[in-house]
Amino acid sequence: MVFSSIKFLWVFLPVTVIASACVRPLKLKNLLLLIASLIFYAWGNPVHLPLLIVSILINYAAGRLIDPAEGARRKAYLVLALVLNLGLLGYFKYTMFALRILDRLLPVSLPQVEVALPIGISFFTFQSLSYVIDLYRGQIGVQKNPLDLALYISFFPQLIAGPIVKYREVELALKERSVSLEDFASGFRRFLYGLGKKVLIANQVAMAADTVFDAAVLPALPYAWLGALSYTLQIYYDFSGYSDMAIGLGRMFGFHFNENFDYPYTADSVRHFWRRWHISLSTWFRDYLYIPLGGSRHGTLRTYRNLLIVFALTGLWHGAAFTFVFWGLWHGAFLLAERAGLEKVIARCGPLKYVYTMLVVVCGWVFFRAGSFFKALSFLSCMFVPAASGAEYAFMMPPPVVVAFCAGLLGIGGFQRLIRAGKLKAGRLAGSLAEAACLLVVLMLCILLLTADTYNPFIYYRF
Amino acid sequence: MVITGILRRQAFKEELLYVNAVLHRDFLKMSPNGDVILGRDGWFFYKGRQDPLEDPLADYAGTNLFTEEELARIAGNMTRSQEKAAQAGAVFIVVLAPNKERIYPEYLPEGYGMPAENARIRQVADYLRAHTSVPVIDMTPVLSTYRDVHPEERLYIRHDTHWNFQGSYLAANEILSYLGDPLPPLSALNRVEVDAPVGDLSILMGFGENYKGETEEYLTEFTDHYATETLSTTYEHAYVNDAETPHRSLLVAGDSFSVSLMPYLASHFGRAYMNFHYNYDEQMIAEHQPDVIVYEVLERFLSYMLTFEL
Repeated sequence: MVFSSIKFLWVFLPVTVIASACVRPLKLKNLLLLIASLIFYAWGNPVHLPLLIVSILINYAAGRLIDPAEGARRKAYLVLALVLNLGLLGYFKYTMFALRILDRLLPVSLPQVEVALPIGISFFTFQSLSYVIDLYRGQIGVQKNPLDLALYISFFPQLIAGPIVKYREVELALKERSVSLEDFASGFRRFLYGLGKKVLIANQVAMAADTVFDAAVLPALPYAWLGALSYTLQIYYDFSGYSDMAIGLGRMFGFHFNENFDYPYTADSVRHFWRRWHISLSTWFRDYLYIPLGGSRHGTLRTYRNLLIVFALTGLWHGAAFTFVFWGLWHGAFLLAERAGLEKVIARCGPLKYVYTMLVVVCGWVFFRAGSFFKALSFLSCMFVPAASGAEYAFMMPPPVVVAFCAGLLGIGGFQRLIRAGKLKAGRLAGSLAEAACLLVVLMLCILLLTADTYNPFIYYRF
Repeated sequence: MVITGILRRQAFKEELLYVNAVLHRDFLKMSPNGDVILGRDGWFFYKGRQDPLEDPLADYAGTNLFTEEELARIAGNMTRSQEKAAQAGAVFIVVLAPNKERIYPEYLPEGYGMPAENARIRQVADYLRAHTSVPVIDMTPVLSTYRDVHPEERLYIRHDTHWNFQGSYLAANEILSYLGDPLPPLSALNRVEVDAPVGDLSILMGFGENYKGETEEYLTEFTDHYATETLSTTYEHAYVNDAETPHRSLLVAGDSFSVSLMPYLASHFGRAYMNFHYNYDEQMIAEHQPDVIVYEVLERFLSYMLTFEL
């Protein structure tokens, strides 16, 4: 199931909210939310539910074993947990990728194996690992109640698309939490912002991006840019929209998750971009990979190596293909360059530093979306080298897509940061009746669009 | 009631789809369904390819012409059908019905141009006339001519793919004229305004079973002896006409465009029966003992002529 569906909005969410509100004891509430989360996961993936449960059991057992142990034994249990978690992730997500690589390297032809990817496995695996590692480090207390740990790992707001919630963010809330009307209302408002971002902006500009990227022919220069910019907006509004929905939903049930996006497209350097984009993932890599590798404490060369490893793996985390790894390294390379002195140079360039950052980001997204390395390079050349021929798409942007595109550009974050800094009077509207009315309109439009999406009648049913 | 509505299906789904369709048609000026073109003045056109053999846009632009070999195959099928009909003592007629946009291109939105002259439907008609003795009636000229003389009358339904009462009357009369037994001319007939039937295209758009404000003109007094419908299912229609002498029998293998021809054709036959071409069976000739067999094909289904044979 996904948040942006009629089943979720019309049935699952109201039922879960009402049921949770009717139940008093916290233990029962947690159990109810756990059952709801498992149903949520199983709805789209009944086959993979056992995998999720197995993952939860492994991590519960690991926690119970690590906690009382010391020294080499403690470390051994950690390593076992790491191997099992990463093994599962590696098998389900990267087997086909690995086989493809080996197939190209080895003289013999390897059998093609089909492994279905369980939804959310990257998220809940990393989440479980954070629990186990933080426990090993003594930063959190062990969770003796398997149901509570299960709720932490599988809680439906963040199970499928993040943010990657650290155990200490919810450790207290699992034992004790309350939901005031204010919390509930603000959570619901946050959820609606996210829903609107996903359905009214991301889904619309996606159509323009798909037209250009999925075509068999290369686009003319202006259309290449329109396609790339559309995808840039799509991925931000889609991903941050989901995070908004997750954070909003969490708040509606009394959980406070950390922010996952902080207007990344208003960053003035690639380094700052990564402080604002998918924050939960970059902090995860910082805490559990970069710092253990030594971080920036062992000289420039080691730092560069560590950064490149982290970014290669960040890319790989997003998808099992070289284009994703390359995307990660693309960002890593610019980060290195900025460390080496580029950042000081661009800091003196005034507004050009924003242009520089967005150029890096937009070109990076081309690698992310294009589907193959070669196609990405061809696409980029269409963007920068005017060609004699290139496909034109007169009908690429019907009115709703144009509106979504413009709204997307306006909502990038400039206004929001000014509001946050108290420089715009519009900030007074937050929490007001006017905002609520607008969000209600957003909700109705989303329901309208989502309903129409599922309607695909057959013209010949009467024939 | 609301709860069971929610549980059984999404509550207000039809209402939401209707609102969505209205918003798209009136406000966004675009079609909510990728298979339907929103034309001018509330005209809808079908561009989908829900049937794997159809491609209405290619039909219109003339980009899907048959090869020589395919035309020969069609000719062979039609010739053999004619022979089989003759053995049973029947006349075999091929009828080709044009897609709506061929007759009303001016209602398409900008960018589609005019319908190609050298298109499939013309190709098939010309080839069969040149290489076989099968009578072929392409309805494009009779519909276009009437439309030019009477531009105030509509021959197709606006929110549907099909020809309306007038369009089907003209087509049926062409067939009957060929058989030497015409009905009165369309312009002489009495009309009664009725609510338009449910439109296949308006359903695709999400308007549901009612499409408000559309009317059609039902034709009356075109004959002294109306046939009585004795069978009406999804695919079959049968008529009996005791008043009709001589008691000739009609068999039609066609599609949904034949359905609206039947009341008019049946008025000049003692018995008339139609079924869809993919349900056709040789048994039908034995069962209905036809004097006339009509094979009707809609322009976007011309590919089916490659495999149809009586």
